[in-house]
Parts: sequence; C-alpha cells; structure tokens
Amino acid sequence: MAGLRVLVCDDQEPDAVADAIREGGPKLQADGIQAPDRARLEKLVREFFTNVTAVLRGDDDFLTEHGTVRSGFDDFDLIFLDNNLSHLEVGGVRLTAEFIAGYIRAFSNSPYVVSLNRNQFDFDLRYLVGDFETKADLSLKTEHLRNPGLWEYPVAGAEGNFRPWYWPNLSEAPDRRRRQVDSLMPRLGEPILSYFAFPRLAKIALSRHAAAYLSPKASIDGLNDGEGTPIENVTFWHHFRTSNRTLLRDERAELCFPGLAPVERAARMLVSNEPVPDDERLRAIVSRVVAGEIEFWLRRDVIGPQDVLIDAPHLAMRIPALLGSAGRTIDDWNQVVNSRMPPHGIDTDLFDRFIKPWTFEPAIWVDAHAFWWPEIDAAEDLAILAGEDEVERLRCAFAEDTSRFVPRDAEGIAGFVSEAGQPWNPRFVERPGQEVYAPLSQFAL
Amino acid sequence: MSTAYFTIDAALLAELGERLIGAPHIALAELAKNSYDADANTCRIIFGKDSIEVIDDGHGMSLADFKRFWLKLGTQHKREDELSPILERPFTGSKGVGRLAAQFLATKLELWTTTETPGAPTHKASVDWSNIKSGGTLRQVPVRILSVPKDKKPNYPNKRTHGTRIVLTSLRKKDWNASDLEKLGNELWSLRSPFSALRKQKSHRHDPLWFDVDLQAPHIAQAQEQFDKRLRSLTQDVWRVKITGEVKNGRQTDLATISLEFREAYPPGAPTQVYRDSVRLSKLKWKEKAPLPKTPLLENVGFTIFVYKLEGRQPSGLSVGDLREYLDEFGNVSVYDTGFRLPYYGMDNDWLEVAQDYSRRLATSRMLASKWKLESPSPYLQDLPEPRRLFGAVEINTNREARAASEHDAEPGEWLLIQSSRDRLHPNMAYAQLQALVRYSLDLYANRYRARLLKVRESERDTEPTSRKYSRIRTLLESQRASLSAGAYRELLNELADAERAAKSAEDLFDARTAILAPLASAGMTALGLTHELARETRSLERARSRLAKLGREHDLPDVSEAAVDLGASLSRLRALQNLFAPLLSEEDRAGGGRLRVKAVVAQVVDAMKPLTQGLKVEVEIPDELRFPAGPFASWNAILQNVLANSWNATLDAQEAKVRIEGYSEDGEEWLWISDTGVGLGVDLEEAKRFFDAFERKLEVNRDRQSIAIGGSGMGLAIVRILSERHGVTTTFVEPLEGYATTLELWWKG
Repeated sequence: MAGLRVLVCDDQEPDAVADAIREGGPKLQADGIQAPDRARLEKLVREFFTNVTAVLRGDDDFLTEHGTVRSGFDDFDLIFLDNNLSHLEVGGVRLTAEFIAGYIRAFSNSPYVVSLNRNQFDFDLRYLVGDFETKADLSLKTEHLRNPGLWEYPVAGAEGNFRPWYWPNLSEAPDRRRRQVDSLMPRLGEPILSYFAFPRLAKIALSRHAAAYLSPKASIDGLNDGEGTPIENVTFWHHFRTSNRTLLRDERAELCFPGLAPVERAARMLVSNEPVPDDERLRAIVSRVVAGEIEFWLRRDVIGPQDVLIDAPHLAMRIPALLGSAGRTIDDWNQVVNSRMPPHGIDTDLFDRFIKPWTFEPAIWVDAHAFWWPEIDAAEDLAILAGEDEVERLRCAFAEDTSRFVPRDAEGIAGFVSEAGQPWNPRFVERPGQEVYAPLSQFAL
Repeated sequence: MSTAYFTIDAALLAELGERLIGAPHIALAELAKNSYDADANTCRIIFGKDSIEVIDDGHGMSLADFKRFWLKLGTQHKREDELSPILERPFTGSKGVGRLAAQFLATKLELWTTTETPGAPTHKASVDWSNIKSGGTLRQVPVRILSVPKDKKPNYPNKRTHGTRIVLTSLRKKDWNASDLEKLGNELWSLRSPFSALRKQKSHRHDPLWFDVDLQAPHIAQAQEQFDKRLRSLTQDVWRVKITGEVKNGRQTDLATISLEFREAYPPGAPTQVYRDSVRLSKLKWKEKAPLPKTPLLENVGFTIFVYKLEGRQPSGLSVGDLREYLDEFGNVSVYDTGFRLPYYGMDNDWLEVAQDYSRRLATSRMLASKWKLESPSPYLQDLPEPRRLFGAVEINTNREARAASEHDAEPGEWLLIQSSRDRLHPNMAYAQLQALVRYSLDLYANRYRARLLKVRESERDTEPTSRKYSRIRTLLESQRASLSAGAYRELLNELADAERAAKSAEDLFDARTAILAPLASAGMTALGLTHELARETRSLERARSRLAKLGREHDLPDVSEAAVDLGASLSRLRALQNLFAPLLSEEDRAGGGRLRVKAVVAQVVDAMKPLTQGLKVEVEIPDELRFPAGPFASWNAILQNVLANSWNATLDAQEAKVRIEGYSEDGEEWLWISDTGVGLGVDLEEAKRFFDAFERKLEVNRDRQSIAIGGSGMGLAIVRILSERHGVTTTFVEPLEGYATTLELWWKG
C-alpha cells in the first residue's frame, strides 16, 4: 500500500478517518493521505461541481483530453467520502457521499471511491456486497478502515477476526480498476457476456435481476415481450446508456448526444445498435463509469450468489470431494482460502480435469480466482465422483464474515440465505465480535 | 292639421353614448366588435399619441350600406340578421350603437371602407363633432364622404383589398394605460381565436373561428401582456390538465412521447403530478376498428391539449359561463398544417371520436398498455373529457411529412396528406396513426384521472371510521325500506346495529391503543436517532482508545494502557447494546413479510438481549422448520424482547432465573411457549387476561433490584398483544409447564 495516494473528505472529523487508515493499513508515505479541512473541502467540491455542471450543460471546453474535469479530486488512488457532508456550505441540497461519488467516478481520474458511514451495520447478509444501493465502489464504516484485513487479501487462520470475504483488498483495488478501464476503452461496443466469455450454461443461470442490471431491456430467454434486447447483445455502451447508477439519464443523454432535441436524445439512448462514439473523451468517461458499474455487477449478481461464478472456498464447501484425500483438518480447508494460486488447495488432478477448464479468465475483475459453476455442476463424472466419495473429512462451513473455514457445528455458527441464494445452499457466519449484521431476517428465511 | 317632427339635439349623441356605453374601453371594444361582425380575420388597434386607429379586413361597406347602417343610429340591422353574411358569425355589437362609440372616444373621426367586390371604390367619411353645440340638431352635423383614389387606399390587414379603417383623433381620453387595455382585453377575449392569439397561428380566410385583435400601443408599457391577460389565462391558469405529445423523426425512432400534467385538486384532494409515457407508433391500436399500420408513418408531430373543468369557480376570475361559451365555440382538438388551422377539425367534427365514446359509456381502453391497468377494475373511459372540455392543437407539416416519406421509401400515399379542399387530411393510414396517437393521450388522461380519483377515495375511505360507514348503510337501508319485506328489513336492521356496535367498540379500543402507542412510537424514533448518533460517538471513543493504547505502548505507561483496555471493554458493551436496535436498521427487517423460522428469530433475540439479561439461563427447543405467520422480523423481535424482558424482571426475585422457549406444531396449529421461573402471575388465568391491557401489569420488583429491571412501564404485554394480533397470533397465559411459574402461549394457524 505504500505509495497509495488517498483523499479523505469528511466535513467534521477528517483526521479520524485518516488515523483509522494509518492504523489499518501499512505505513503510508508522509504525504500519502490528504484530509482537507472543511474550508478546503468546500472549495474543492465547489470547483468540481462548477466544472461538472458546465460539462453537463454541454460545454465540453471544461473536459480534459482524458474526459475528466480539472479538480482537486484528481490523481488519487482512493477517495473516502463521509456520507454526511451536510456541514459543507456549497449551496443547494445537503451533500452526501452518494451525491458526489458518481460524478467523481465519471469526471475524475481517481479510480476508487469509498463511501463511509452510510449504514449502521457491518455485515450485509442480503447481497454480500456491503451496500447494494451505494453509488460508490464500496460502502464501509470508519472503524472498518482500522481493520488490517481490509488492506490485504484475507488469510484464514486460527483466529477468526472480522474480515468479510466480500471486502475487496483496498490496496489493490485502485490499480485493478485502472486496468479494467484500460481494458474496456477499446471494447465498449463488445457485448458484455462475450467480453467475459460467459459459457452457455452460465448465461442461462443469470438471474433476471442480473440481466436487468445490464439493461432494463435485456431479455434472457426472449420472454421480454419479444421487444427486449437479447442479453448476449447488450454491450458496455448499451449498458452505459441505460444505467442510472452513476449518472442520471438526462446527464448521460447530454454527454452522449449533445445538441440533440430531448425527444431525439431519449430515442437514441434506447436504440440498442447505436454506434459507439469516436470522441476519446466520451469513451474515457463511459469506460470509467462502466468499469465501476460492471465490477459491482460481478460482485453482487454474478459472484455474490456463487451460482454463476464460484470461488474456491465455496466450491470446496459445495463439493468436498474436490479436496481429494485432504480435508481432515481445518488447516486443509483453510489452505483453499490461503492458496491464491491454482489448484487452490484442491486436488491437482481433479482441479485440472474439472475446474481449470472453467476458470474465469479476465482475472482483473475479481479478487479471488473464480470458476463457472453451472458448467462444473453439469459435469457428470464429477457428480459420480462426489457421490462415491468416502473420505472422512471434517464437516466445515466457510464463514463469510471471517473469511475462514470453521467446523460446521461449532458454537455460534449461524446459517443464512442471501437474497439471491438458495435455502439448500445456505451461507454461514461466525460473528466473532459485536459487529452488526443486517437484515437479520436473512437468518430466518 | 299639420304634422310636426321630432328633432334630435346633436348633443344628445354624446349623452346617449355616455349612458349606453359608459366607459372608453367599452367604446373601443364596440368598434372591434364591429370588425368581428364584418367577418374580419384581424382587427388592428393602433394607439397614437392623440389618436386611435381601428383597421380591419372585414367585408367593408358600400356607400349605400354606409348610409343605411352607419349613419342610422340604433339600427335593428344586427338583431334582424343575427349572423354575419359570410362567416355566419353571431353578431356581437349588442345595441347597434357601436358608432356612438366613436364620438364617445374622440371629437374627430375619419373612416375609410372598401368592399370585397372586385374593383370596388374606397369611400372616406369624415366627421368633426367639435363643432356641435347644444341646441343644434343632428342634421346639422355634416358627414363628408368622398371617393379615394386607389393609391390612397388603406393597407388593410393580411394584405386584403377590403376592410374598414377608422381613425379617431382629438381623443376625449388621452391617458390610456395598461389597466385600460386589460379591461379592453376582458371585453374582447371571448371573440378572439385562441389559435391565432395564443399560438400565433395563421388560418384560412373562410375559417369563421379565426379572429384576432392586433394591438399596437408603443407608448403604453406592457400593453400586449395586459390586453392578452384574460385570454392567456386559458392556457396558463384555467386548465386542469395539460397534455403534450411529440414525435420527432418518427419514421426512424418509431417513438412518441406523451406527458400529462395534472394540477393540484383535480380531482379534489389529488396532488400536482406529471405522468410521462412513450409509445411506439407501430404499436398503436385504434379501438375496435381495422388494425393500424405496423410501421411508423409519422415524422414530426407536436400536440398540446388543455383539459378544463366546466364547473365551479375558475382561476383568474373567469366566469364558468364565459368559459363554457368560449369552449363551445373553440373547443376540441384542432389540426394545423404548417401553422394553418384546418377548419374541418373543431367542435363540429368529432374526429377523435371522443364525444361518441363519451356517450357510449365505454369502460376501458384497448389502446393503453397493461402497465396502466388500474389496481381495482374501474370504468375509467367514462372520465374521457367531452370535446367541449378540451382546447388543443395538433401541429404537423404535410410537406415535410411527404419529404420524410420519400426519404424512407414509403409506399405511395402513406404519409399525412392534405385533401384538395385544403380543410382536412386525407383519411389514409398515416392519418389513422395520428388519430390513434392523439386519442391515446386522451385515453391515458382518462385512465390517470380515474387512478387519481381512486387514490383520493381510498385515502378518504381509510380515514373514515367503520362506524360511520355503517351509519351510511343505515341511511341507505332506510331509503330502501319500501322495497323490503318487513321481516327482511328488521333482520337487516338488527344485524346492522350489531355490526355498528362492534365497530364502535373496536374504534374505542383502537383509540385507546393509539394513545398508548403514540408516546412509544416517538420514544422509538428518538431511540433510532440516538443509535445513529451513538455510532458517531462510538467512533470517536474508539479513536481515543486507540490513541491511548498507542501512547501507553510507545511510552511504556501501564496506567494509560490499562485505561485504554477499560475504555475498550466499555465500548464493547456499548456496541452489544446497540445490537438491540439491529432489527430496526434495515427496511427488510422492518417491513418484510415472509414466514420466518421461529428458531432463528428466537436465537437472534436471545443473543441480542444477553447484555441486559446477564445470568438468565435460556433453554430453547424449537423444531427447525417451525415458522411464524407472515410478518416482519422487527415485529417478532419486539414481541420476544418484551416477553424476555418480562421474564427477566419476574425472575429478579427468584432463586433460579431460567426461561424455556419451546415450539410445537400439530395438525396445522402451531405454538410457542415461553415459560419462566419467576414470581408467577399471582392471579388465576382468567383474570390474567387483563394483563394484556396497558398499565395493568406493573410488576413489584424488590427495591434492591429495581435498578436492573427492564422497562417496567406496564405496557410490555399490551404491545405483545397488539403486535401478535396484527399478525394472526393469539397470546394467552396458560397453565405453567412443570418446574416453571408462568407460561405464555403464542398460538397461530400453520
């Protein structure tokens, strides 16, 4: 993490956030964290919005060649926004992180934005992403920043410390995002599913919710009244024109089709085969926005339920036979978490035969290696092998909140069903401290 | 015998004008009305420094007509003919004394007039009233008439060769101001065509509805605004709904956008609201007729339709009678081709079949997509507005439509095409699509109006007490008494009285509970707010703890390190307490409606209550699949928290503090029993029922232990019962399980 440039935006206690980051992460360079006071933050926000507003009114003189607006939000790796910025006197409505986050993504070159203290809970049982509504890349509480686990890949060990599996490694996230944006820039006109090389069964396994996120017009099985766009055809550019997550519709329309009459713009926003624009600045904006939104989609809708993409710990929990003769000790199981390289603690032969062919290739999009579950699940030989498995292993559960395996019947282990999950494949938490988990009803579904 | 004649004192003219007309703005309005009566399309009024000119493009007067009608005072001419000769407008100059107005306004008059007859001469008349003296007779007032050479002919409006021009000089009222012009506008608004005045549209010469007054008053500030004020109110203040629609590049986009802006209190009680819709032209349907084209045949169309309410008080001081009259003439939706109104479309032609369907009392529209389906089936098309409640304009450009059609290789005739009569469009498929589009917007209006109405009714119904509803039924029953047999009437009456009594007591109970819950609700809100703030404070404390720990470590200060540890322990307890509010933090827990597993809910509650119930042993034996009835987590949490708190309080004075929670399921019935080893109820089970009423069970806890009792307000069980009943659970005390002092049963159907 040394060398990361971090901006903290908090109108009341910026130093508290900066301290928490220093405490949680390895030492930063002296000038690594900037935590402007209220007056400086006001100036920064005011300037940023003046320029953004000009751009959104169609004045592209305010856009740099990279499609950003010049502002104090540029050139950071991570930006932390306290959700309650209501003490900032910048005119207009009270500011929150949610109001600013999308604009920073679209109009600055700082790749990763974290919103702080929007929620009072620590663990998201519903979608396993933290906050499914945030416009930022991640939603945390200030105290989470103090957690060393947030700044590195999880290490499953004897102690079960709170470190949700769904947290990204914040030290790596900005660099990954930059590479995602670079990768998308020349490929905006490519269908999203082709880009990620979705195999046939994985396409079918996508939930309607997941399809609708890509485009409200996306149809998975041609059932969308015959009027939708087949999900295979939804491109990144199409997604940008139909998604409100980062920028509002009118704002996107103004950026995409400046100077056109509103009704014509609205029509072109809906045309599925509208060509990708040549303007490099617009392509840069679209790439930044889409990279953030699509990574979120992968986390929430594709990996979250572990039914389209699955990572090694969940795979091992679902088919313990993949561990081969291992799995008798908790250390064997935790090897699956700690080994970040193939075969991830899985039996090498079995891995090569059944898992490796279904590796999710664009690794810059995920924190941990992932595999196409529907294709693995469809392998009959694997099913037979699992059925005949007679190795006596420890019965384990993967604890989502501590990122480690624990004995399934240990005290305090609670099962829950996430929003997109299946009751016959529950997930587990061990609740090591006093963190708040919500919604509690997920435990009782 | 000799015959004598009346002679008329010329000064009487002034007197007469004064009495009949009364005010200068009315006098000037009379002159403009003359223009209207003369079938003019435009009457231009030009205010000079000391002059007023009124010039129109009416049919003008021949010399004979001038003498017969203009020079004869109080002629019956207007009353007899009733309609104007060419455009058949009903006459407006009410008393035939319009020309008196001239004298009322000025002392000098010059009048030019030219008829429509080809080559007709222009006559000019001049009158000077300044020489009239009292005692002189009218015959002594000379009116000089002469023929004017062609090159001296006035420039009548719209480049017409005919019309009348009146120039008044030496004005009697010289200080005309904006307020006078507003009054003038109020006199004339109902004659003015909204199409030309408001939309600056042109029209055909033979469009009887085309009449406007063009005001030119460069010396009077805001003259036009004031003059147009009343007329503009029609499109600014008076309407209740504004419908707009637009098609841009329709042959390519296949898209039309429609927006409906509803004003507040239309219908009464409804808020201001805007509905938007977009429709595919190729998907439009037209009622039960033959199917419409499956391709877009419209290129550019815009329309605005105002819907009015022809009853009750109108905004801007407009009388409802005037509005009705006006819309009777100018109502319905007109069509404009490049700015020219096509006369065929107006009040006389129900081209959108609105009047037809209004009278057919159709129920629902087959044009609207299912997304507009109303929650409760309702014949919303009965709210379709009659043409006389509409004023609207559809704007098209048939030339451009033809061009676009050719660019898109359209089939011959598949575009909006004007007929050779130039008064209407050719009834082809493109016209049918236009018709369907505009009509779609009206059906959508009817649909949304009914939706708003239902919503208002629903909210009113929600607030009406049940007993009052029964009271209405009683009134109804009385009114139908004659048609019922005496026996049936008596029976109904008895049943009704019974229901009414039950409703009344339910309402009383509800009121009583509301009285209890109101303070609790505000306490709850405050607690939630407090939790939110506590989170921030906790963060500050955590920061302080962290600093202390670091200082202690770095400077080897054991006391400081110890303080940091103590602070950490306190923080830990504080966080544990915050968990009590966890079920209120998310919408899913507050409002979710699934059937939750009892065992998991109980486990959560017991766990969250631990910081408050240290030392209380809780045994749980519940089958995995036992589920509560549908209800949110927060409700079950509140019930169980209250029950556990009661158990905790009850066991404070007991030797052993134990709670057992057991669940059962049998033959579709399910139970949860919560038993404790506390002090017991102290009364028999029948009497214990009253404990569920508010403030009835206030446990006497030994003074030594009062400080650790939870709550103690006597409302816990009342809350338990209210919430339980809400979700179909019956709560009672039952015979305690063996080894326990009290057992509370929650029972429900599985």
